[in-house]
Amino acid sequence: MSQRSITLRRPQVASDELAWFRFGRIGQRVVITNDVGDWELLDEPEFEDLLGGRIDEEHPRHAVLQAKGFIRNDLDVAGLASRLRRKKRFLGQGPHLGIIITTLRCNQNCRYCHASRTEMDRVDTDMSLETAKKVVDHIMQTPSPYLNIEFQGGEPTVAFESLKFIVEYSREKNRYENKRLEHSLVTNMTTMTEEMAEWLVRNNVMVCTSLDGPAEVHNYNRTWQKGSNAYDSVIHWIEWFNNRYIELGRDPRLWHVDALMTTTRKTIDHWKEVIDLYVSLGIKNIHLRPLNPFGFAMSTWKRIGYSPEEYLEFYTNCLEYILELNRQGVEISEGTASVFLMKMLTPDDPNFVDIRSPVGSGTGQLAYMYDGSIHASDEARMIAAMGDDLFDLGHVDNTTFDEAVNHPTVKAIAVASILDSLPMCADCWNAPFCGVRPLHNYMLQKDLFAQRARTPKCAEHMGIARFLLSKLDGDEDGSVERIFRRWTISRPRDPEEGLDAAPPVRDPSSVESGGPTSGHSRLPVLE
Amino acid sequence: MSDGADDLELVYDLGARAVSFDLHEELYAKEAVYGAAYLFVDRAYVFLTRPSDGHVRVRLRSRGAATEDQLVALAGEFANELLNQMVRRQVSEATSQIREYTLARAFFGNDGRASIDALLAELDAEDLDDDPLEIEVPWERSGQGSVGG
Amino acid sequence: MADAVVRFDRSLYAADAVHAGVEAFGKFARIALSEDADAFVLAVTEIDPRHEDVLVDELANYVLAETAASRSGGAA
Ligand code: SF4
Repeated sequence: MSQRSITLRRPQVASDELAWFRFGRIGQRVVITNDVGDWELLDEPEFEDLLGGRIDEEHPRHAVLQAKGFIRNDLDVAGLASRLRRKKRFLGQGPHLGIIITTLRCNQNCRYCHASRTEMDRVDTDMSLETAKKVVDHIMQTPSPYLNIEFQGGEPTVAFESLKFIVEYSREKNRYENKRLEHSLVTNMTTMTEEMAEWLVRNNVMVCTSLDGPAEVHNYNRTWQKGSNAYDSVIHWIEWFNNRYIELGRDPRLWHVDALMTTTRKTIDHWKEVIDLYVSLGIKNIHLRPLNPFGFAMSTWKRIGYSPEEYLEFYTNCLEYILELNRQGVEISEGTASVFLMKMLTPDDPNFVDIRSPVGSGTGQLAYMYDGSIHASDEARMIAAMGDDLFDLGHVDNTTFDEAVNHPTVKAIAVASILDSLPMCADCWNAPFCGVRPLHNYMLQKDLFAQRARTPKCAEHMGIARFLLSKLDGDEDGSVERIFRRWTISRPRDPEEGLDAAPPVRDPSSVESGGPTSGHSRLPVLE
Repeated sequence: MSDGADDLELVYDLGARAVSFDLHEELYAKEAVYGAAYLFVDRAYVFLTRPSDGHVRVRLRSRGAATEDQLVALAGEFANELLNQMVRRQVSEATSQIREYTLARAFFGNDGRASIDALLAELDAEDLDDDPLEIEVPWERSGQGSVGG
Repeated sequence: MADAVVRFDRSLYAADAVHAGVEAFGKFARIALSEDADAFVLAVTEIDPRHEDVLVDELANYVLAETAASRSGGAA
């Protein structure tokens, strides 16, 4: 045993000169952030000047630090308060995302799918039209002025009648609810028919599919029935939909198929090809997502899994390449980066349910199972499918909307995800941009709160935020910021574009339950 | 020193797989020690003991075999984090009232509506400026929607 | 690792955190909790051989993190 020593330079803190901020380090730079999402990167002497109250009007950083509210002199508290209200305006709005699982039947057996799925003959896992009606009546009580009804499964197109009914009935009901109502379908395309596709296009149901990469990667991840090629099917339908929108005179920048990608080890090995494929298909946004690291057998995880560090390396490689493509004039953005950038560069929060404080489970989204049971989120219904009903909020037959959203479980999840109250997060410079996932924590550590330093989401979010701010910091000519700002622009579609004035609504009792029974698959476990 | 910084000398023991610091609570507040320790539990095994009244001994043991350089680096990172935690606490104490006041004004102020509406209008007007490539909304963010659980 | 006795100083570790640690790690070892004037004392025996090398250290980390979570104070 030997003794050593370290000399620490403890800066002077001029208590009367400071406004409130958090700080941390990114490489040699000090990052400071505040509640409204303003940030600045300083070098150490500048940071010491800030702490020591030496940012006077002559100081080169005075103007920016003053404008962003990091120094007390002439602090515009009213302005900060207004901006904070705007950033957090999703609070109290109620769920804006209603996930409806119209069936659990699925014809694919994806390697990473550990959500509940059933074989194709299990018609008992289709949502009946009576239940569908009750679900629509339930979710449309949300006070949110915007509502996206998202179909998931199983493979939702297997129960296409229920899906159609929900779209038509919700639209009819919206005549007096007057919400901005959108519908989206998450499908693997393997049971899509031209008739369904035409109906989806004509009814403005946005289609999102899963595309994990080139044929070798996609077909490896997504095991389908023998003799079929999941990749060919998905490519065919992406092209079909995109062409159809154009034929109908829709703006292809607003109307097109989006694709989600779930990263397995195989994807990591082929990252560049994956992005090139997305670009070649004209896809404008790639949403990179890590696997949920739970629910796998150890042997499966060894084959397809990776460490948070490996994921981050993959992510930064992809993002560097995507940036390079943008510099060459290719229009492509990355989804998670866009969420962070909107918080970092704009006065708004994108209200992305998985990356906000509090997380959206129950307060930003609700998930309805085929049987009418209500869950706090998509993840919660998957936990329920694994036999744990801790996050069930009731059933549309006997739980009112208010009871569901005020359920003690929703409150517990909210409390466990308010970053200001969580150790480590409360102090973390990334808190204005980040979000924690209590249900994710629960799956990993059987604890809603978990220990942040050990969660892969913390490592991922910290890595992404660091990467983005470093890029902006080194952006001498402003070109990176121009690209990043484009990724944050929100151009809402008109959900009623091209619709007939009065969609026909069928009486549920006049249609038999269940949908077509041709084969389909399960969509990705959404992160 | 003219900028008012003080130098703190932090002594530690370097062992086979561990480094240990003896910290005087008057200089290093216990909250700062906890804050730093919390950040290190994924990297090292951290254990606290009380060698004498008013002192906390922090032992950081590497998770596997470690070279002397790695242990010295671990000690350095811990010391830096301890300092960060101390500064954070000072900043927090100095500014928490301003923050509380701002939060109260944001969420409970009675003049809220009028000013936020004006601000929204002003900021909305800026939003669609300057988008030469006109990249569209990713579908999961159209309006305020999003996917996922 | 052989059987071990770990002393968590009362002035440094929270009682709830020690109890949470006993519960979380109880499925991998027999953990007997006793208390004396200065410490919570955990006698750890019958450690699951798969986790023998790390169990006591991980348990101590867990208890520390739980304590820190409740005591490190608010935002800065
Ligand atoms: S989860 Fe991690 S990165 Fe996010 S705010 Fe908390 S400590 Fe920071």
